[in-house]
Amino acid sequence: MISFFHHQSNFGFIKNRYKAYAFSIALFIATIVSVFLHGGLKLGVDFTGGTMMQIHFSTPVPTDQLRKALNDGGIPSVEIQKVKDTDLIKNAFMIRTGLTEEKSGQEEVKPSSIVERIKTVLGQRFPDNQVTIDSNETVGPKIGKELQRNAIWAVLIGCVLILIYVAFRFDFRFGVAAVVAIFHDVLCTLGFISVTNMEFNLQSVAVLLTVIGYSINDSIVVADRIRENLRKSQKETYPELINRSINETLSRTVITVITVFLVLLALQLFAGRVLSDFTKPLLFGLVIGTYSSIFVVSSLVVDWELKSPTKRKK
Amino acid sequence: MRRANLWKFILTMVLLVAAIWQLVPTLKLQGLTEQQKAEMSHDELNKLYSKAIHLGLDLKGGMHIVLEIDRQGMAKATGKQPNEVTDKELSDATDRALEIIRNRVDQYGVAEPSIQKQGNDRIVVQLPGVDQERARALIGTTAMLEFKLVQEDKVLQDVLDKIDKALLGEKGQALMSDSTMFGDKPFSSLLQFVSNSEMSAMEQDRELVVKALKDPLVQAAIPSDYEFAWGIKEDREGYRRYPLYMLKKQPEITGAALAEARMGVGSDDDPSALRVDFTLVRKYANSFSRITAANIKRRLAIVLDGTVKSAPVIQGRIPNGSGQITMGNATTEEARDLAIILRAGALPAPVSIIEERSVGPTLGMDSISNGVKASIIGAIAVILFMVIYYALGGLVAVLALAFNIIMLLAVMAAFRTTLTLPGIAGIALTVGMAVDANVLIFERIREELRAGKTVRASIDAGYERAFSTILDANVTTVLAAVALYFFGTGPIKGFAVTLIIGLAISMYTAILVTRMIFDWITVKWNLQKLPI
Repeated sequence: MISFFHHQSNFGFIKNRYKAYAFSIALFIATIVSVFLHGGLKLGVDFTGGTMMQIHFSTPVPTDQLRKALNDGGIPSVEIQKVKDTDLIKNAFMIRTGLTEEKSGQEEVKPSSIVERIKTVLGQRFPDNQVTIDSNETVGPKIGKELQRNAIWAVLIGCVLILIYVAFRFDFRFGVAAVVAIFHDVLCTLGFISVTNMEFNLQSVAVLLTVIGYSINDSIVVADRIRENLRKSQKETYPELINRSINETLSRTVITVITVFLVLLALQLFAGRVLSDFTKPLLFGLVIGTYSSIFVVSSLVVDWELKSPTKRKK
Repeated sequence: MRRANLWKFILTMVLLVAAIWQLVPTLKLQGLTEQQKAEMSHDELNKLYSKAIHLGLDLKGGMHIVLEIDRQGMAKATGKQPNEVTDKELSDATDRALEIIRNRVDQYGVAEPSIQKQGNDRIVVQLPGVDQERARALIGTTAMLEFKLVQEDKVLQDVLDKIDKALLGEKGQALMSDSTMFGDKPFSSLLQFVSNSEMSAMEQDRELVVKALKDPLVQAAIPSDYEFAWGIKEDREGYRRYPLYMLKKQPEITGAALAEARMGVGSDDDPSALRVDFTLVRKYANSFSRITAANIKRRLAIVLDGTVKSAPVIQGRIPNGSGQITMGNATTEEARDLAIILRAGALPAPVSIIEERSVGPTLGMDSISNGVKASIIGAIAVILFMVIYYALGGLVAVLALAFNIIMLLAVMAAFRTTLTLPGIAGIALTVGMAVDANVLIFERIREELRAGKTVRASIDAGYERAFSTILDANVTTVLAAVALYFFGTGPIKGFAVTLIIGLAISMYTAILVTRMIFDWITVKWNLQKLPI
């Protein structure tokens, strides 16, 4: 029988909580600095409006030639990224362009027409090289605003639903600490997205909600154990009891994070570009969620208790 | 086996068999090659598709388009101010547009299209595996057909002179400063005249002509009952030119309904040119007959969505309401699609595409194969980990996990939910979360065993104590997924769906099924030590 930890492991999580606070604050600062330096989060076309398409050529084309072709063709604000070859798709690029309201001739640039324009431009510039459009996401500015609103609603409603549940099931202080942990995890995950210069799009919203769900999940396991131990034990001090509870559930916490991590890692490595934008921040969020439920949630409860003790329930 | 356990066992087996039964069409479909599919009858294949797991557009390739009825265009079509168009009218127009688009899509022939109204003035169209450009034209074309007389000779000449004069002032010079040929005819010098009726602009001059025609100075010079309209570009002798027509603003026949429209081949000067032959419904055919009789030797423009499709000279009275639209250098597909669009009828108001998401078939195939590959690798990693770490317990958990995934897919097939690429990630995440339930239970059992309890007592206590934690953990994750489901778009919805179903099933498989297996094993072999 294998065990990662001795069953009487006693790591001093609570004792070292100020180091954890310092670490978390450092992460916050890194997030804020990164977001600031990047001039805010890099929003995806889902939110800003615009077109994001993946195309591939039948024979290789250098990135700068493609960029020049699109610039010469008058495609507004183009960003180009080479995509890794797969078995089926080679010489592929991601092209992102804004939708501008500018009018050329009598035609207004409409969501649908920009795709055709790019295709025409590329067809003229690379006549012997066949261009295939693999995917295309075009979002009008109006829809972009709506999706932005929906995303905010999704995160808010998700949080509120979880909060209501947590409020019913746990005591007030633990609930508050768990909420602080949620914000902690969301903020750090946003920081990761910003530092790695990834786009924040609808998928990222799904990532955030999944991270929230997972983080709460971890906090609940620890909280359940604390509640159970509180009922039984009278001898220990409050910090000791909480530290013991964390240690008792440590094995589970680590094993679960490993299994979920393995699955996500497999997706990250083998599932291709489309999913990797999804799994990369999720992997980070998973680790940070685990960290916060071990180090942040209980520590906050302990500090609160030390400052203004509650009457211990029997 | 205890009596209660026997019932649980029977229930589980029944569920398993039912689940596998649900998955048979999916497996069958996956096993078929493209050739075998082509050989099957349409009905047979459709039946298979309707029972198999429904793949999202991101996996099978296709288009997702959101159309919005143009309020302004609607006002124009009904002769009102935009703010006079009521929500009710807009909603009714959307309903009619939806029917017409459905009609077009049906005639075009797309397997499993989905066309739905969204809100008051939007239509969501989902078309699996179609040619993007053709689909865009098919659903986005208004197809408002009008017949207008072309004004030629003296009247045209007068108007052109007036425009030239209007542009001679200072403002006009500023406007036309790009023009290389200025002189005393700033406007008409940009145009080419084949005869005193047919005029056109070269490609390089077109933009300037468009600009001039929009200018208030020029607008004022055009009599209010006339308008200019462009024709279809022509490539002749190495030059591209755009015909320009001056039309009587008041159409002779407006919004004409067609009884029939078909693609045809051959025109007067080109035997291979494509055309669309049409016949007007009786009501319009009568007026058509009257108008053609009254305007012999004049040109009648067939205007589709503001563009002159052709402007033939009326040779004589046309009694049966038949006519043709010559298609110039269009492809067969374009001609065929136009016939479909005309047959299905005009949209009550112009629509614009405000959102479009499409995935090509290759990327879809790529995503499926990579997604499945990654999931299998991930699952194997979890299986190995669990079996190594928890030995017998791990094996039991893995069995339950397999059951979980089979059930999840079966539920998806049975309830026709859509599997998307993020949905595959959802399944993978379910694997992780379902295992978590077992980890919680097993860690508890280990603790109880260490505390010196018997195997049976430890198992009982382990399950009992872990249950509330598992429930809490799953409920919170499901709550997050529910929020995603209601506010997410297509593929993300797929993620939420698989996560919700997967976690719900895991409450059964990871708790009841594993418990049943443990009970059975411990009793059968009378285990005194539990390798967990």
